[in-house]
Amino acid sequence: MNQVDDLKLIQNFKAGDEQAFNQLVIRYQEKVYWVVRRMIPDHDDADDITQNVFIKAYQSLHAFKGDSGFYTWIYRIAINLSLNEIRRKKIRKIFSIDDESAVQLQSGDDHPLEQIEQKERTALIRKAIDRLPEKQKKVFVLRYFEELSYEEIAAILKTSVGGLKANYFHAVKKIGEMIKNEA
Amino acid sequence: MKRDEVIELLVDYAEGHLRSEKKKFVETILEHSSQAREDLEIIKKAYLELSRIEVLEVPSHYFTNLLPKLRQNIIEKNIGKRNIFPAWVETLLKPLAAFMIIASMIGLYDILEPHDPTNEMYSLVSEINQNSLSDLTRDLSFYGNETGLNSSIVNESQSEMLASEIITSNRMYDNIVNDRQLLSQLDDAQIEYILEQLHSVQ
Repeated sequence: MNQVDDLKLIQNFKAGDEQAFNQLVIRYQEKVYWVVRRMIPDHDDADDITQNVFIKAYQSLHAFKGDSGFYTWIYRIAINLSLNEIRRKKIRKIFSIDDESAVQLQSGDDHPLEQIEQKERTALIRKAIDRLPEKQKKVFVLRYFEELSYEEIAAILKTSVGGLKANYFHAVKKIGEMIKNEA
Repeated sequence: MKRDEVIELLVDYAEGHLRSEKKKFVETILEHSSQAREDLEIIKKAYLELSRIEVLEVPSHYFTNLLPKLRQNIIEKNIGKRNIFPAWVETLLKPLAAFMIIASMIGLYDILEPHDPTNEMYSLVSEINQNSLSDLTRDLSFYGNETGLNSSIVNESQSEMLASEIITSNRMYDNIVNDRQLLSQLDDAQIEYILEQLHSVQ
């Protein structure tokens, strides 16, 4: 249903209907934002990239032929721009434990120790995800956080399902090993 | 079974996606392989920790404000819909299009341009002696009135040009050919020459 609606909106946009593009943005802004945010946890960076994703879509939508779903197409843009940003900035430690602790200490919560532990654990996992090779990171984010099927991920990343499963396993295993080693 | 195939099953097993037959198969492997057990423990540990991950926060009204901010961005950065071709092709396209239009106009002009016998007839009439030309002009002027041409435009200074132009008119051509009285004012050689030229033009 969405697929048909998306194509209709795209056709309308190509015909000059700017409102059609607005509707596409509203429909996919959260999905795009979250896939970017899982790759780049800082909100401001994720916000910039999310906007760039839609700007790129705005510029390139006329070339969209409908061979794949719009969500596949926009996810691909989101993944690629996120990875470009990671490469460009050479982000290694976006969420350091120290930063998380600093935020916690300002919160004034009733259970500071639990909060610290939670934030440390979160920071550790995010660091583990951040250290994954690009391919594994893409597969992991799309599979674990976005809960996409392997078939959908294969369409987005233009690869085979078989390879994705192995990538996902290795990603999960690396995260597990890192947690185990640092715990 | 290869290890890659086993580890794919281990992930599905940890997620609880396996049906009874494959589930039993994986459990058999786990029973006999310490490596498989170790892999499964790591996967389970990872899933457990991932399930405890802190929810990322988004500023309130972020999604409400995203579209207006995006639209403002598009306007401020003067972002247009990108064309199909790369920028360097786009740069070449405009002059190329202009060239194509001009070239096609020239080509069409060459194709559609009617044969203009004026110059040929002008040189022909110039060869006729001035007296005969005056007679011819006067008579042609008369024919011009007969045929709807405006005689007032026929005067001495324009005689040669008008004579040649009138001669090239199909209608006048027929009249001239049929009117021996008019043609009798020219000598035979001139008449033959004019007729020959008129035939070649027609």
